[in-house]
Amino acid sequence: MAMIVSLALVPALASFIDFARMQREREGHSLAKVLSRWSDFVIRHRRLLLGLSLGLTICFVFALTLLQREVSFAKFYPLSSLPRRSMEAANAHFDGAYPLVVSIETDRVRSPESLRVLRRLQNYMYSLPGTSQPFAITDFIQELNWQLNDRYAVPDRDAAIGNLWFFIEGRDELNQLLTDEGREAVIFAKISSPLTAFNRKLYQGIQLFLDKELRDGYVSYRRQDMRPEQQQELYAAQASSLSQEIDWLAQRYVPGRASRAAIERIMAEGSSRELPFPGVRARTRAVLWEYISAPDFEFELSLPQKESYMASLMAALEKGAGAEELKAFMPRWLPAGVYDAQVAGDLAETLRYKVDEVNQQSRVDALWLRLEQLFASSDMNFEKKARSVLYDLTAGIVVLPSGVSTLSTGKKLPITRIDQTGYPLMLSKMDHFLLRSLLQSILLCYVLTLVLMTLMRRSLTLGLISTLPVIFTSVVMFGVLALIGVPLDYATMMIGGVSIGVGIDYAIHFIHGYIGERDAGHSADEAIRRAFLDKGKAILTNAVSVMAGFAVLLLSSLVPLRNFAWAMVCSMFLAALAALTQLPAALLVFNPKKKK
Amino acid sequence: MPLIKKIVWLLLPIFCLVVSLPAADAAMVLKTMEENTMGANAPRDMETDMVMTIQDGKNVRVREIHAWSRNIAEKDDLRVLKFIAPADVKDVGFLVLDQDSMYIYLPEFHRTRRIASSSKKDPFMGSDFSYEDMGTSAFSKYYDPRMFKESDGEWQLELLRKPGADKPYARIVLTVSKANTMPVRMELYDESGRLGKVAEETAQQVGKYWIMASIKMTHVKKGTSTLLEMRNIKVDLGLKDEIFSERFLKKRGS
Repeated sequence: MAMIVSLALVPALASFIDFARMQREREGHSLAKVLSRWSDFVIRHRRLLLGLSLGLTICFVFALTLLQREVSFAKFYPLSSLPRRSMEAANAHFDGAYPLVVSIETDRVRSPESLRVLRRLQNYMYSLPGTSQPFAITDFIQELNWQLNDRYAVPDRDAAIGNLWFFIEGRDELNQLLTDEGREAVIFAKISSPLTAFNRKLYQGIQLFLDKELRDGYVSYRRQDMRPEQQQELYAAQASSLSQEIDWLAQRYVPGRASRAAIERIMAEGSSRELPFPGVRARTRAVLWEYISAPDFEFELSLPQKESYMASLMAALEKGAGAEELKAFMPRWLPAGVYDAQVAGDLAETLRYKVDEVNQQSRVDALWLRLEQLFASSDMNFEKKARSVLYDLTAGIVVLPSGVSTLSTGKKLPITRIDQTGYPLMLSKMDHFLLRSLLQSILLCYVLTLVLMTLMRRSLTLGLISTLPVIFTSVVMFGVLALIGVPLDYATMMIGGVSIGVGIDYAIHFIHGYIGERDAGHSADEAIRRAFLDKGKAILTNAVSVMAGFAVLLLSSLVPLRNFAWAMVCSMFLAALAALTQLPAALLVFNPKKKK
Repeated sequence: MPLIKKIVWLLLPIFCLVVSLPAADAAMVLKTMEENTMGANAPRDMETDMVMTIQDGKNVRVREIHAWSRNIAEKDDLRVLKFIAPADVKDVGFLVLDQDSMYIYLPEFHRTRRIASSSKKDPFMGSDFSYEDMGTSAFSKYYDPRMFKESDGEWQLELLRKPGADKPYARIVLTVSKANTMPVRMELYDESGRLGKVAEETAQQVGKYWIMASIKMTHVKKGTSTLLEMRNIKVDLGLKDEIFSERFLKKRGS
């Protein structure tokens, strides 16, 4: 449309104007005097001006490395605006307003093995900066175990998880954490920063970790299937893997003193079965007596009978009696007429379970007593979660990332996918597309401009010279943005294309005037002088008009539009400046010849 | 006394009588129904197998349960449920002594736990029944009945929760069959007056008793349903007191 108006309407209107009179008046005009002096200055200092402009361009190319990118919508609003204030409040008081989700796909998330992998990923997320409260199905399971069995840990048997699941199955909250068929689960966390650079770094860090975890995979081992020396080897490998989890948790809750090596050393020592666990006997006695003295104890006994039974039981346990031995002793311990073989079998199993539970709890307590010395401060949540990790040393199954143990008796877990989604991914991808679009559009603009100018003028030199002002304009403009810390966003990224589009107009006008004067037989200096007078005013008038047009956007309430406005004003100024200094200087220095 | 006043005074008692008649009928229907389900006309005790089929979209989960119950006049039923399948909940036990005394036994942890009052509204075993639904109690104790509709074969009662009654449903629309005075359908409304669940019930005659042989509970909002079917129903066995105890709850394979 603009072209049609320029080629039809403008010449028609121009036919009513007395250009000869205007030319006479123009030569006496003050702007004409300025342009005349300007052209003289350029003619005199052609090499200096060209050198300076090229030098400046090169300097600003280095400044481009400092250019930030910002694609977060949060930063679109002024600090005082309601959306921004709400987001700031959510970040300050609720650990963040932006979601981060890690998801996992396996054959069965509910298995003790998969839940351990989920917990490991969750603990890793605790170590991430600006990330809070990763939440997953493991939290439900561990919390239930804590409430029902005083043990914040993932059980090591399918049936035990099934028993806990009894309480949560059918709850609406499960749908947010686990798919119906139980093959996929997610870990939710919140991010406190909307900044693109922060989220990009976070995304890359997480992706690197997840890629490695998925590539290596996980192996599960059953302790009972192993020989004692294999079990010791497994404990050492487990200490290494679990110390990493405790280290991640420590980074979140008690950052500072403890190194992972120190944590691993203590865990390796604690993995040994010989480690003394103080008070375990008294604790075992208390737990068993509480059970035996309860009114619902399996056999109806009087208090003295229960005391006698308790004494026999403790004596047998000290000799290392297992469930079978305990069952075998029952007929001797119980009064005649009370004994029932099936009930005795159940009771023996229950008693053995309780003794094992006390032993495991004591081992974890002993380990924790040693570990907590490493940390500069204490935190209840840290202790709870660290204990959950320590309980793995007492569990019947062991899940390790592949390669941590050389034992070949393990079974590879069928984990088919671990990936992330949420704000960091979204911003990183948008940032990537923004950068790619910017580079593509600018490069395409340069190439098209160069090709068109070369074809139009039938001279590569003229083609190259005509792109100099737009290169100067865009490089200096983006360099200035980089130096004053204005990030590249959806709006400011358009500056490149728009400034090239407008800037090339000025170059075309000026070169057209210069070539015309040269064709009329004028020398290069005279052609430049005449081009200045003929085209300079139009270029300056156009630049001022466009600058005024974009300046209106300075009143916008959206930050990127305001940034775009003043950047465009600067950009037009630079484009006009380059067209009236760098371009004539280059034409004079290289003195290109148009092919006939 | 002016004539109009006389007429008003004359009509007032008649009007009150007329208004109160449907309420009396509703109370009578409810009382008879409760006599059949948990009162004098119900079996003294019962032992049965149950199959619980939970339908959630395309997902179908089946639980097998063995149940014992005892009918106590003027009180809540005693009830024991033991899970038989699937394997990961085998031997899990559930004991209801009354609406405030419910226990669950977890065989994998060798522990019995009391169900907290706050958890009674939670789904039972991932089904559309809540823990409270799995217990039994007389409606008339907690709800005021009103005759809602009547057709040739059914009465429809509206039960409104009594002030202060600790019950999850504010309103129940109960349909009772005239053939056997047994419930056939219950629409359970929540606090906000929205329809939350619908229970469709089928009665079966076992000996001289009418027994609820199947209940299909549909969760209207979630679009899920649970069918609870009774099989091998045995009545009046003279079940021992020990069965309804925590000690029995711990007994495996019973």
